[in-house]
Amino acid sequence: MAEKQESGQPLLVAKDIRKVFGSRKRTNEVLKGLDLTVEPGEFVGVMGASGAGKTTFLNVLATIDRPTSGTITIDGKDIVKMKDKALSKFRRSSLGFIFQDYNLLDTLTAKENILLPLSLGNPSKKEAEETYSQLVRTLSIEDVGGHYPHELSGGQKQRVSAARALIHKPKILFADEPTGALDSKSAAMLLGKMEELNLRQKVTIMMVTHDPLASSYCSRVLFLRDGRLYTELYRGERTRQEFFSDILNVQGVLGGEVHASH
Amino acid sequence: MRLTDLVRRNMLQNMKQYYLYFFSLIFSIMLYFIFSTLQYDDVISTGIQESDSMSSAFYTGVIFLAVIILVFVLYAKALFYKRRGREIGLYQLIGLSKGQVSRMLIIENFLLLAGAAAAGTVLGLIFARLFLLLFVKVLQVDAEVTLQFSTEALLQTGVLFLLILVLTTIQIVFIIRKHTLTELFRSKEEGEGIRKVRPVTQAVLAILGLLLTGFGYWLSGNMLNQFLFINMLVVLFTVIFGTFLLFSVTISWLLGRIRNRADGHLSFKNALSIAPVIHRMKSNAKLLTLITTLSAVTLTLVTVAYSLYYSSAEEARQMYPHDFLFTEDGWEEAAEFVGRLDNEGVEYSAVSIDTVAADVSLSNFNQGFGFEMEEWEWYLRIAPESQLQSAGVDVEVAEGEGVFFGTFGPDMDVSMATAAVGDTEIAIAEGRNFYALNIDTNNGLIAVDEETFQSIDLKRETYTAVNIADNDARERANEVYHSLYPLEDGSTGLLTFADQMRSALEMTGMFIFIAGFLGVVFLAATGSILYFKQMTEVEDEKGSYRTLRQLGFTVEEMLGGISRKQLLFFTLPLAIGLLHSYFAVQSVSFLFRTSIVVPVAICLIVYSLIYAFFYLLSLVNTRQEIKSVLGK
Ligand SMILES: Nc1ncnc2c1ncn2[C@@H]1O[C@H](COP(=O)(O)OP(=O)(O)O)[C@@H](O)[C@H]1O
Ligand SMILES: [Mg+2]
Repeated sequence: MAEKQESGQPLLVAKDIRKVFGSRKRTNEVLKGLDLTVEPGEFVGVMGASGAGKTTFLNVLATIDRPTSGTITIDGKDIVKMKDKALSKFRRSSLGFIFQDYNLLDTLTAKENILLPLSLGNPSKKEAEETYSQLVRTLSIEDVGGHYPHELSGGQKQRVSAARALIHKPKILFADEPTGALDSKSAAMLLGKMEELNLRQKVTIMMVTHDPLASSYCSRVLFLRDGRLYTELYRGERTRQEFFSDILNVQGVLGGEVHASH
Repeated sequence: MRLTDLVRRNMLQNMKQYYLYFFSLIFSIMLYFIFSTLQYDDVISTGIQESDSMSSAFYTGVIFLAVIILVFVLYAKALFYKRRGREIGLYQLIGLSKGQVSRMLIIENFLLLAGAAAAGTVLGLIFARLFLLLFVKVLQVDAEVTLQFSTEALLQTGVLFLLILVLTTIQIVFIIRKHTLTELFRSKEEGEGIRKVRPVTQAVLAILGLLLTGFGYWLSGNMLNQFLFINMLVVLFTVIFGTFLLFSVTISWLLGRIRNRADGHLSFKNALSIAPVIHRMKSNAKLLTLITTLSAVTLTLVTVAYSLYYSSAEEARQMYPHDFLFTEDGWEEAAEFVGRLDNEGVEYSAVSIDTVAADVSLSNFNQGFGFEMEEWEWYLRIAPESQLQSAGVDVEVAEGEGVFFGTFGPDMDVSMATAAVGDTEIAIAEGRNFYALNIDTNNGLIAVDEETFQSIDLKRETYTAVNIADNDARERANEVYHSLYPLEDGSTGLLTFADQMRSALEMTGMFIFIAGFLGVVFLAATGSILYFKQMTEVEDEKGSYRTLRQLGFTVEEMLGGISRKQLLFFTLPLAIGLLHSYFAVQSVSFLFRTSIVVPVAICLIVYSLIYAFFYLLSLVNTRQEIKSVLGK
C-alpha cells in the first residue's frame, strides 16, 4: 500500500544508532551502534533474546523514542532532528504501529478505532470508507466494525489494530511482538495477512519478535545480541519451512530460547 | 520497611490526589465550626428580635452541614479507595494481611482527618469574627461585635470529627474485607462495560425521560388548585425520575445519534469526548442525578432566600404603605406624636383619611388560588380616592367604580367583579396585590370616588397617616413612636413600616445567610466530587493517552478532546440543575411581589462561576497528569 518509491532509494536508513538509558552514575547502553537499511517493500524481522534491545531499537526507529546518537532518515526525512510537534505529525501521517497488547481504545468501536488516525485531518469520507472496506476485507474483520474491543477475540483485536495501523497508508508499518498475546492459530492467521499485505500491496513492514515461527514470514531477519547486530538472514527463494529451520539454527548458535514447541 | 514508614510514604504519594479533598474538608469543618460558634453566640441571641427562630435556624443549618459533610467524605473516600484498588491489592500480594492493610489505611485516614479538623477549627477561630461581622451587616443590626471563644462550638465540632472518624473507619474495614485479590487483575471498573440495549427500548426510555421532566415542569407552573399537595408530590417524582432517565438514557441516546451519523468517522475531539461520555454515562447516572437534584434544591433555596432578602424593603412598603398609621381610636396619640415630631424638628406629612368598614358582598371575584366562589362576603374598608391620593397612594377611579387593594397571593382576576355595600353597587375596575392602608388595619380596601363614598351611610372612622421622606428621620420618629407604644406584648399600638423592615431584614437575612453558606459548602462538595470523578477517569484512561501519543497525537490535541468531555461532564448537571431551579423558582414566584430578575441572575451566575472554577482546576490537573504520563 506504500506509495511507489523511486527505485534505488532506500525507505529507511539508520546509521550507528546508540541508546543509553539511566542517569550519569548508572548507565545502561542498550544499543551499541546499529546500522540498518530497509528497502521499500521489505518485510524485516528483528529477533533476539528477551532484553536484547529489540523494542528499544524499534521505538527509536519508529520515532517513539529518541536515540542517544546516530542518524535516522525515513522517506528521506531526518527524524532525529525533527521537533516533537513535527515528529507527531510525521508519525501520524507516515508510520503505522501494531503493539503486543493491541492498544485499542475501549470506548470506541472497532471501526472507530480503525479510523482514528484519520480523525484529525479531513480526508474525504468516501475515500476513507473505501480504504476501510478494502482493509477489513483483507483482514477478514468485515463483521466486527460495530463491536467494542471487549466483544472481540485477541486475534480479531490484533487485526483491528493492524487495520488501524494501515488506514492512513503509512510508508512503513512497525509491529512489536504482534503475536505475543495470541494463540498459535490466531498468530498464524495474522502473520499470513501481514505477509499478504506485504506481497500483494507492497506494504513495508518491520516486525520485532522472539518467535522464530513468526519471523519465518519475513523476507529478511536481523538478529540482535547485546545491542549489536549479530547477523542477518535473507529468505530469498526458499520456502517458509526452510527459512524457519535456518532461523532456528542461527538462534541455536546465538543461545536464545529455542521454541521447540513449534 | 515498618508499617508506619509505608503509611507515610503512601500518604505523601497520594497527597497529590488528596489535596483538593483535604482543602474541601478543612473548608467544610471551618464553616461548621463558625456556624456552631454563631449558634451559641450572645450577640445573636440578645441583639435580635427574632432570636428564638434564629438559633433554631442555626441549629437546622448545623445539622444540614453535618449531613452534607458526612455524605461528601464517605463518597469521596469510596472513590479514592476504588482508585487505589491496585495499590491495596499489591500490599496483599507482597504479604501484608488484610488486617495490616486496614490498619495502615485507618492510620492514614486518622492523620488526614485530624489534620483537617485541627486546621479547620483554627481557621474557624480566625474567621468567625469576620463572619459575625458579615452576619450583622446582612441583618443590618446595631450590635457590638465581640466574639467569645465558645467551648460548646468546639465540642460540637469534636462530635462531628468523631462521627466522621468512626464512619470512615468502618468504611475502610468494610472495603478491605470485601476486596479480593482478583480485583488487582481486573483492568476495567465494574459497571462500566457497555451493555447493549435494544435501540427501540432505548429510544422509548430516552423520550420518556424528556416527557417526564417536561411534564413536571409544566405541572410545577399549574399546581395551584385544591390538589396542591398531590401536585407537589407528582412534580417531585416526575422531575427526579425524569432526571435519572435523562442521565442514564436520554443523553447517551442523543449523543449516540450524533455518533451513529458519523458511521465510524468520528472526529478526534468527539472520539475523546462523546464516546467516553456515552461509555460512562450509565455508571455515572445515579451520581449525576443526585448531584443535579440536590443542586437544584440548594440553588432554589438560595435563590428564594436571596430574592426574599432583595425584595424585603419593597415588600415591607407594599404591606406598610404609610410609615405610621393611627386609627380612629389612636387620634390622641397621633396628635401627641405629631407634636413630638414638631419639637424634634422632623419634617413629615400628616394626612387624615376617612374610612368606613363593612361586610362587602363580592361577586365573580377570583382571588387566583385556583378555585372560584361565585359570591361571598368579606369585611373590608372603603375610602375615598382623593384622600388616599394626598396620603401618597397612587390610585385613580372612575365614577361608580372601585379599585381593590389587598391580599398577598397570586394575581387575581376581577374583570367581572362587583362589590355591594347596602344599596351601593361598585364595579371593581382593578385589583391590586398590595395594601393602601397598613396591613394590620384592614383585610383589604376598596378605593371609590367621593360621591360613591358619601352615598354609603355608615359610621366614618378617620385614620391618620404620617409619612417621612428622610430615612434617618424616619428611624428617629420610630423611636418616638415606640415611646408612645412600647414594643412589648400587650401594647395596643400598631406596627410601623420601620418595624416591618427590621423584622423582614432579620428573617430574610438569616435565611439568606444560612442558605448561602449551606449552598457554598454544598457546591464545594459536589464540585470536588465531579472533579475527583474526572481525575479518576484520567487515571483510567492513561493507557489510551499513551497509545494516542504513539499513534502521533500531541498532548494539546488530546487535551482538546478531553476538555470537551469534561465540559460536558460539568455542564450537564449544572445546566439541568439550573433549569430545574428555574422552574422551581417560577412555581413559587407568587411569593414575590417584586421583580426578582436581578437576585436570580446573580445566584445563577455565581453558581456557574463556582462550577467553572472546578472545571478549570480539573483541566489544569489533567494537563499535568497527561504530561507526566507521557514523560514530558
Ligand atoms: N525506558 C527505559 N529505561 C531504562 N532502561 C530501559 C528502558 N527501556 C528498556 N530498558 C532496558 O533496555 C534493555 C532492553 O530492553 P528492550 O528493548 O525492551 O528488550 P527486548 O524488547 O529485546 O526484550 C533492558 O535491559 C531494559 O531493562
Ligand atoms: Mg520487547
